[in-house]
Amino acid sequence: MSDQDLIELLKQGDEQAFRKLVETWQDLVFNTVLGMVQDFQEAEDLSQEVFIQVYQSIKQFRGDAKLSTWIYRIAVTKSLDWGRKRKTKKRIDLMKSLIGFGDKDPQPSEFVHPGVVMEKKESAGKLMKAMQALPDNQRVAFTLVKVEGLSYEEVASIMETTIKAVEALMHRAKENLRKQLKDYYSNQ
Amino acid sequence: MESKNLHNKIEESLSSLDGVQRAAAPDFFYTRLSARMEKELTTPTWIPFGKPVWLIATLLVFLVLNTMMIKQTKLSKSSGSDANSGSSLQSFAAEYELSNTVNY
Repeated sequence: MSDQDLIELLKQGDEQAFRKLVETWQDLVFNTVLGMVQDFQEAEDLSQEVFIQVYQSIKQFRGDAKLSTWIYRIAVTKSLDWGRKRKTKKRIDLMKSLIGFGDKDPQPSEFVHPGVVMEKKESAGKLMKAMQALPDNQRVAFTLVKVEGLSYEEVASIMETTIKAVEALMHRAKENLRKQLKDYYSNQ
Repeated sequence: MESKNLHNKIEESLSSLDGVQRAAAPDFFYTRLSARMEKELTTPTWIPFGKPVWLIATLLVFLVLNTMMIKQTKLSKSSGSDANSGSSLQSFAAEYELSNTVNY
């Protein structure tokens, strides 16, 4: 079944078509969201939200981009929104702990992506931690290229920008990561 | 020597995600998703006041309306009491046949 046929069936509210869509793209969505949020439970919840949004807004999908590109965009947007909410919650929790209400959030343990081979797990853990401190657009580009294995062209299409811009984002992301990793390994 | 070692560690870390396998969605992902959709999309959403933003907005509207009403009432009382207090009292007394004569 082509993407176009699938979209038409989805627009008609066909349940089997929706099931097919989820089963086709669930790993793509989960892996992208997991790379961004670095938490299994949150990644599953957010992946579900991505498909709920796909289901609710498929009628507005005009077909300007590929279906997968559109789904990637929703996954990235949801992950960034989650990150912003989490930052706000952390600030509120910190304020509460400062004035004596509630406890300070414990530091999250280092996340290791399940697809990393055993001998690289430690260094990948440090890299994933450093990625969390990157500016949003650099983190999106780096995650899509490194975790999802997309080409610069595909990333440019998802981020609605040029390939040159993605190259620049990747360059800056790597520079920032080098600085953070240098700090980490120097203080070890 | 030490800086070369540091450089190697950084580059090794930077390339540690190269060739990473895609993480698979948890088992029964679709089953859990459809259960959630069943629950969320069939729950009536016609009550807009469930969200805090609507609650605060509604409270503010009530507060503004109440303040306006109180101000209005005070204004009409103060303007009415000076001009009409005598005549309205007399008409009230006449209506209920009240007089200030005392019969002993």
